[in-house]
Amino acid sequence: MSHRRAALVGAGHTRFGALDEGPRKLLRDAVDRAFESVDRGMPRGQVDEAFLASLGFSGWQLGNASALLAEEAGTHQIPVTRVENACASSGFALRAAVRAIESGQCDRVLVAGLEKMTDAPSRRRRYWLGVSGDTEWERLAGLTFAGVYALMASRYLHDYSAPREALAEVAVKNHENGALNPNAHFQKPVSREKALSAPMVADPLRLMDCCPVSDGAAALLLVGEEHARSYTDSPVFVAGTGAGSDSLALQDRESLVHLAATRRAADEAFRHAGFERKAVSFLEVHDCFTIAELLAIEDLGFAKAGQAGRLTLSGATRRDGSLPVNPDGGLKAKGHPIGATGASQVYEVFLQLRGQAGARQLKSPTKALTHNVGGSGASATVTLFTAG
Amino acid sequence: MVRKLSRGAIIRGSGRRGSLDVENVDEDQLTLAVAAVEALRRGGAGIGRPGTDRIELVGAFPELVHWALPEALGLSPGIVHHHSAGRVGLASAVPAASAPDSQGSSLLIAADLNLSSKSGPHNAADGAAALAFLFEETPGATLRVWRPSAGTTSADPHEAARISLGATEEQLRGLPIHVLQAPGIPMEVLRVKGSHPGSSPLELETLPDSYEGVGFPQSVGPAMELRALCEAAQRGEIAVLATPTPNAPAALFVATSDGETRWRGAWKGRPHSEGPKGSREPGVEPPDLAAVSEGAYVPYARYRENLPGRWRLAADRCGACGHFTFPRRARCRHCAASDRLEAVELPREGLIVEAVTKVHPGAQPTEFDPYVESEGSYSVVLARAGPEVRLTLQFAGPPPEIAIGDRVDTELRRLYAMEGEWRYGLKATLPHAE
Ligand SMILES: [Zn+2]
Repeated sequence: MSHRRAALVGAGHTRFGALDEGPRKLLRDAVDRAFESVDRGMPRGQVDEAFLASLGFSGWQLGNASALLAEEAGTHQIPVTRVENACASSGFALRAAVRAIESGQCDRVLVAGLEKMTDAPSRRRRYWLGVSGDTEWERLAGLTFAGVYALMASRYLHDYSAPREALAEVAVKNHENGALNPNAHFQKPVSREKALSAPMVADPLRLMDCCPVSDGAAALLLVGEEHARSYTDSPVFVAGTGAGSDSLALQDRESLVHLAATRRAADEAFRHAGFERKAVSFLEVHDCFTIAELLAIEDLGFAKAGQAGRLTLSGATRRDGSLPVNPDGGLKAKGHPIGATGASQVYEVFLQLRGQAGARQLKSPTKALTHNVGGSGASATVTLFTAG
Repeated sequence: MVRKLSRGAIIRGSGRRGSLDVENVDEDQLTLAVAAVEALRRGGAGIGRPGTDRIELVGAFPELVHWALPEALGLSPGIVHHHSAGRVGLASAVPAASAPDSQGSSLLIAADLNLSSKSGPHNAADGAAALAFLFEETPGATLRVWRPSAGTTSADPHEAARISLGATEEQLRGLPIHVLQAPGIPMEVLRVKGSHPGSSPLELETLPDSYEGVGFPQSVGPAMELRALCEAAQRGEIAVLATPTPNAPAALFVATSDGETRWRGAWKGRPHSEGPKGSREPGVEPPDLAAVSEGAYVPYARYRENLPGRWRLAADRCGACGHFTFPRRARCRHCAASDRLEAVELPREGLIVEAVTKVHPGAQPTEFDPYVESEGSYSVVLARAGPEVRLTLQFAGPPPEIAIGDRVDTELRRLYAMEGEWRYGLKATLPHAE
């Protein structure tokens, strides 16, 4: 590698779910755990710069929320920037941190993702779900994200004659993984029958096809690669990052059954990393709805168009399969605190590549991919990691 | 030149009767009026800018109709003239619509929502309906209005015909006059015997108190009588409609026809004695309108700015590469050129469904809570309106049996309320009958 790589030396994660803790406490806990996870410790004063990822759900501290991170992390007066790209906020915050390190401008960077969603009354909560879609032409035609992804699912099932069971299988598999994740919102397996008969939300998506509304936070500590060994013997290196964007509204996109932003992000990340897709041990993809996991597997280049359903039904994406996907339970079972999700995916990579994932530990993974999508695909990031 | 009545169309709102102002939460006089004119257009009527220079409205329309109706129809602003509801309004709207003051055509639109509890027995009707007439300088029915002077207790069809048509007694002698008598006007009000011995024979016809078993809201019933008058004029030489007005025993509408008057649109409805009454008072806005405004915010100025796109599918066609851009972005979405953009309107009918979902209660944006509380689930389609353009459209009415590849049309409907105002836009409908 000619450029300076970023290395992940610490990661922290709160429980995800409907929690009593408020946003400040969640942020504090995630950051504290990230510092505690650094094997040889890191004084807080060493952090150069920080990024806070949050949508600002419910309107609590909508503006200038970045200051919260400095306060709660105890890293007073360092520059903090809030990054907001909807559900991909912390994917983009991570990208900003990695670039700050790769460019040599920073040596030690903190990334935190946060969302507190369940303390608002249900009406306000429903209002905030979907504020990141196209407001004028999509939301005000009666769609929230469930409806937008349902349109994609209807087209996907139609175009590829894909079995409806493939969607259910994503939920079953992710709940099975979530059952082994003590931080997950849902920690119980779900039967195929239950997944296929859950109440309809937006045809063809049922309740079991949708991720929950969750509270939670996750935090990451990254350093320049030459400093990594002073913090841990087993750093995780960022091998490549990629990102992309697309039209806000589905109606303006070239295709209804793939996300161009994901494709671009993946191509850029692999080009940057210099290794092939077949080298990747497992994927952490953005499964806000079950259909999204199928689209992700295809758009990231791990299955041909229309084939991700069959791949999933074959068991290949289970933890013991040839391409494990979302071993932590994914957004579907682990939960989806919007701003925290991208960082949470990286937390799982940190554990898995260091052999610390406990009951859900994969068999000696060496390389991993995280994929974080904003809204219905208006923005996406892909990050590739290599065990140190 | 006198503009003549050349064609008409009637539109009835769908949905439940007698409830929520009134037929459906997403319909009102504005949307019905637009639908009636669109039905005329489907029948081949040439209504367009700058050809149509007057719109005469009969009925209680919302204030916004003055700018919203021309905007929705793609007509010049400021051409709307408002008349009061019912027969009185019709009596002033007909002369205005046929006024010989310019070269264009004019529209007469009567529309009403559920006013049954406040109107007379013969036009008592729950529901919503609109009727649109096109007046133009083509063969058709010449319409005139004649009102007996105040204080008289009877109305004379002979006199009405003679004065209205500018004819002499001699010219009228022997010509049969077809007299249509609106329900609710007693026979003795008409001076039908004795006054003109040897004059024209009168053919009397009493109009039914409902049409095809259905009554009409206040302004539409009289407009339907007008339709019957024009049909009679096509069959005979002279037709006179006697219809009660508050200030006189009868207004007499006189029609002669010098050509074919084509009528389109079918009345579909149920007898007004059937069906449950809704619980809401007529004209009451959906509850909680202010609270709904916490929804994803589109400032009113941006809503107005985008109306040509939202209501008429105004798009740009790129002169450099030929691609369409919708909504308009002042730049070609394909090649990014910003000059040589040509304004076009995309077809509002025959869109092809590319994806469909049914949104179940709870999955709707909060702006749609009143709609869901009133109507339940709704469908949303992504439909292709041209080679490079798709639209996201809520489906009007209950979720239909519809699949990818099916054809849909569009209609203007209420979408949602914000800051106490209804916002309107196109919704998908099943294909309109030819
Ligand atoms: Zn172009």
